[in-house]
Amino acid sequence: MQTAWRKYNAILRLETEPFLAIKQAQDGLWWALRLFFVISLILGLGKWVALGEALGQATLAEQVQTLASQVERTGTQIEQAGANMSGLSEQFLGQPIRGIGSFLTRDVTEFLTGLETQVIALEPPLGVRPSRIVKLFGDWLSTPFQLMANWLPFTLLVMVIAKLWGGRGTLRQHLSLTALAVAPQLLAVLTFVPPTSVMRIALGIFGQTLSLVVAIWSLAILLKAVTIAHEIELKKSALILIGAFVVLYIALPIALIMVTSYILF
Amino acid sequence: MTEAIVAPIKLAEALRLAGQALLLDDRAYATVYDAKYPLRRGFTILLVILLTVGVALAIGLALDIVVTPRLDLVETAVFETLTETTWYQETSTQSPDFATSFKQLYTVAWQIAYMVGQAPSWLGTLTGFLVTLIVSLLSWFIYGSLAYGIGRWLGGQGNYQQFMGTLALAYAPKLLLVAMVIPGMTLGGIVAWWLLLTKYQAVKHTYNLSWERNLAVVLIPYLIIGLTLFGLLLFTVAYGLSQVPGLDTAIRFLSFIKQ
Repeated sequence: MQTAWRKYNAILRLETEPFLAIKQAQDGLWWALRLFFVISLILGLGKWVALGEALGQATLAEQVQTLASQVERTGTQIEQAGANMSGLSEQFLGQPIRGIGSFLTRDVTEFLTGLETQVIALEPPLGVRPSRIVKLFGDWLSTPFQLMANWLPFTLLVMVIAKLWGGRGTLRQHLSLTALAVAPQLLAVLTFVPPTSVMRIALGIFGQTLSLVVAIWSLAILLKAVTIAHEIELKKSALILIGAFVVLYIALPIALIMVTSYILF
Repeated sequence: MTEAIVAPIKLAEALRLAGQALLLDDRAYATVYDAKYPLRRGFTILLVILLTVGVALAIGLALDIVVTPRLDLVETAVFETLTETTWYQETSTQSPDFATSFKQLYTVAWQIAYMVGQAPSWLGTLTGFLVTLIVSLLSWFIYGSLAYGIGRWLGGQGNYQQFMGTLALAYAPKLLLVAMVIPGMTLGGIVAWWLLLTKYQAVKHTYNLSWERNLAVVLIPYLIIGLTLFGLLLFTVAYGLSQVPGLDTAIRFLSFIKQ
């Protein structure tokens, strides 16, 4: 544990030694992937801020219950008002006003209470709130997979460009070292906070600002990783990363549009 | 060749090799490549991987049912309401088979809704598993045969049995689907991306070509399969449209005006 912590710190300080050690180790990829998963899970902790909302939000049965009590209250008020005005109504209409209040208090409330029983039966067997927690847990566990799915296309393109420019690293070495770029992402935890209140929106904006710093730090680690994995110069690594960015986000979309227009028109 | 290699592979051993392959470990590919019957060994590992996924999907379904609103009750309630309508009563009196057909149609419609809405259902899970099983086995065979041909054409030396056996091991990323056992879990396309990596490793280990050729062997079959599927879809739609009366005449008229 202590060794892992020391290694993690050394990666953040951009020391060459841990990069070389991971590159040469048989279990280098396993170590890098574990680091990726742990950091992604910590990063995803921001999602748990929404737990309060998830638990506090009324269930459908509770909403129906609230509505039933409101209707009952309104019905009683109307009945009372009707009783108060019965003298007046008898004087002007020849009979007292009756019916609306009792219709609300008896019939509508009865219907809503029945509906509430049916709605409760529709709820998940585990209960609404525990189910929300379980699903939030699943969503949190998805964070590493989602981040990795976003990270893979870029890193694979970097690998191809590096190889075309004479890089000598293997696929395992490349993946092991480039995965280390996730190391500073711990600071980006605030970007995962859902914007459900003013304070959380402020936290999110601050998180985005912080993530800029994190992005630069990750880029520095990525540069070092590509340099060591493929045994090339730092300048070449920078050009490879720029090249990969240009291909993925500029050239590829343009090429897709051109190919589509060539096929269709 | 030792007896151990010839003997049928054990479950734990198959999963261990799949785990190693998932981490792109060359030793796993070497074990299958050097086996006496690499194709049989690889195929057994592939089946173990797919069956493990099947078991996980079944457990996942049970957990999903526990945390999802009781849609089966809605299904029953809607059915009861529909059967109480005058239309239903009259039609069932006029046609005795109507009730049975209606029930069947209603059940199928709900099962489709469950699948489209990704709601947990036994039929949906079974269909999903069977589709995964058949598609994985078919893609292994078709993709593998294409990749084998391309690999040989580009100068690769491995034989068909060795290649297909090693490629079967490359389906190890399917094991990641086991994580779907947890409700609310999504994998975000990681399986497809990681399959590319394991296939690259399998091709590299079998053919020992340059990295560019290895990449070509991995990617060209996708291109061929993609083009074939695109062509099939295009011509199916075109055939369907060509049956619409007057459409061909309208196209001829439009091209005449254009000229």
